[in-house]
Amino acid sequence: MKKNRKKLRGSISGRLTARVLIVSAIIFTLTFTVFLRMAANKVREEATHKAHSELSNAIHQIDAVLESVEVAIENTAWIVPHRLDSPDFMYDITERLLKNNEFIYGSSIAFEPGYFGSEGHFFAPYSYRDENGEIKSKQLGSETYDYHYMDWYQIPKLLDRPYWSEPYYDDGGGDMIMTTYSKPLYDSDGKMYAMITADLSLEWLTDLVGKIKAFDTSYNLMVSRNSSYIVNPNRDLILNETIFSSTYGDNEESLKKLQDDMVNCRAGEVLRKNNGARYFVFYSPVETTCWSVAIVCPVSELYKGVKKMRDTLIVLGVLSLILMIAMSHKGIRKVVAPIEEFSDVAKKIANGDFAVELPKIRSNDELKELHDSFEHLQHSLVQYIEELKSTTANKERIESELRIAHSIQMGMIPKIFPPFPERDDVALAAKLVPAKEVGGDLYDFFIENEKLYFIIGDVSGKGIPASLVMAVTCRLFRSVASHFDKPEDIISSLNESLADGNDSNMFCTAFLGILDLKTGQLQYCNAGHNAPLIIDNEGKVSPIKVIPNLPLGLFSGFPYQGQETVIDKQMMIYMFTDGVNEAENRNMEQFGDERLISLLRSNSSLEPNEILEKTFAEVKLHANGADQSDDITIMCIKYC
Amino acid sequence: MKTEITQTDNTVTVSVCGRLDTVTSAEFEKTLAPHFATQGLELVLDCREMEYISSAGLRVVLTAHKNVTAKGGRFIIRNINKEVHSVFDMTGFSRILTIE
Repeated sequence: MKKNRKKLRGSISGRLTARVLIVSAIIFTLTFTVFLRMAANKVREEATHKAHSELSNAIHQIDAVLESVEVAIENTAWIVPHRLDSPDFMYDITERLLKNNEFIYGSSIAFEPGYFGSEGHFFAPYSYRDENGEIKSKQLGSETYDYHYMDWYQIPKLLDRPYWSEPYYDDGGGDMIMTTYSKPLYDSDGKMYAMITADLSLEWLTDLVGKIKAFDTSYNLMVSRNSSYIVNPNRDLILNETIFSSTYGDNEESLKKLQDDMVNCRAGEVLRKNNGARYFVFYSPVETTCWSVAIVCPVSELYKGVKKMRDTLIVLGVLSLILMIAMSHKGIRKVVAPIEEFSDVAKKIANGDFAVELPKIRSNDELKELHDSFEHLQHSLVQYIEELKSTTANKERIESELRIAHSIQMGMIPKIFPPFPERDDVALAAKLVPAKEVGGDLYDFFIENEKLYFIIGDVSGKGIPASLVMAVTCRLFRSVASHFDKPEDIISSLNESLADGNDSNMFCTAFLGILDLKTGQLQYCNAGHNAPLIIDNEGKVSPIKVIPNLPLGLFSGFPYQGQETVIDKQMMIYMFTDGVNEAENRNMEQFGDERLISLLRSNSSLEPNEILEKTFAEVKLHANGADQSDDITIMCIKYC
Repeated sequence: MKTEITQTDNTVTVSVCGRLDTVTSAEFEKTLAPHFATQGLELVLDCREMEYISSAGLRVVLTAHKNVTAKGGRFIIRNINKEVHSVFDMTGFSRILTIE
């Protein structure tokens, strides 16, 4: 279980699944958000439409009632001037008005002060319905009720036009909210002489507005021209508060727009925030009276459907995501499973099991390519390993042969030092280090008849070809040297043997000397070799004068010239091959003759074997890790 | 090492640039070998840009000398620097080769 979890986290399938999940979640979220926003907009549009159609319906009904009242007054008012001769007839007029219009609760014809001299200062016949619905009449004006100063009388008089009064609470008759329609009457001179009125109960209006049920939890309001509440679920506010006083302290923009629209008889809708809750307020005016009817609906109610939809979508989304993860993870696992198998196969191959069976791939895709590549890898590896085995065997054989050749070659040159421990007249040291297993450098020496025969040589090139010539030269020197007295004769003899059948033009440079240990006389012959150095007992280092002649093996019959000199006691003959002075470091800089001479000069007091070791150490230091490019040989002889 | 060959009538000039050591000598020999069979050839080795010559290089130079002269031709070495010249001197090659 633990292993599986780790696999999922660190695996391709895990990563792909996570990616699928993230992308799907983003797409789902975006789609849902856009969808829900569109749905919300649509809901709001429809709600607005519905609210306004409800409002318009209600306003239509209100207008119908108000108009009926206005028409009733209009149809009655014309009678008044014809019957001014009979003040009492005015009661008949008002009673008839009530009989003809059930909405009218009371009606009066209020005359200007003292219009009828006989009737006194106040004359306002008034008809009304009592608590039983019977129509009664009375004279309204008195000293205590001077109607001439009432709003319903004063305002239309001043405005010179009919007027709907502000709703008011009638505590005299029916304990209800009333509004009064007043129409001024003018005589032929255009002078107003009376005001005909109709009182309208607003109970029906409360019912009508209250009955609008646009939404489940919405409620309705109605405010007057002066912004007082006429309809409000909170009855305490009715006629006591205005839309300004009830919202005192709230300065929100939406409220200002609402108030402004209502005061100016405009329709509209706003989104209100109140105590943390949000409401849509849809409102529309009653043009006749400039009252505003409003539907207030909590936003949550409006978006109830959208919210439900959102919850459903979230559940659906999460469920589909889970399903998608499960399916895609399973699918991806199936696809990548062969990769894991290939991984195991690779491990097995790495461990040497080349014949391991590959996973079966039936699809013709990248995995098939991988399969084919693995198959190819297996075949190539098997073939390569076979070749490698054979190559390695060959190489080992050659190396082994070379090792043997090396020991044979080293066996050809003297290697026991000091070579003449019983003698105190000569000290000799020599060392040969081939660049490869076998090389073309050589040295040899022996004493016969108190004479020291010695040779140092260097075959052209290096490696096996050079080593063959070296071996021949060494053996020839051993076998012929003692038969001749003069070095040039020995050299000529070697040259003849080496030049014979030398089609490849291999050659060998050599310096051969015979030192008479009794006299110090040195006879020598040089065959194209570096001139040896003489180190005297005062530390002076100088090359022996040599005639170059020619290297051995090139021209049969070449006349080699010999030379001779005398070696004083304590002098040293220092011979070397070009592996010393031409030793190179990584920058291809040669060790050089100057450096060699200066080294010998500063170490002239040392014994031959010490000088030899010094030289090798110094050459090694110069090479500084660079591969040895040529065989290095030094032979140093001290005459004592 | 680089070689450049220019040929006019009966003269082949081989310019050597760089080091003629054990490794490059084999390649150098392959470059020269095709001219060894020509009768009466003048083979010129221009050593103006030759930096170093080892004993293996000397062998190739000598092989060239022997082959060309055996066919009645001339093998000429030109423009050798001091270091290379001293090698030719030391081995005695300057006595048998034509160095101009």
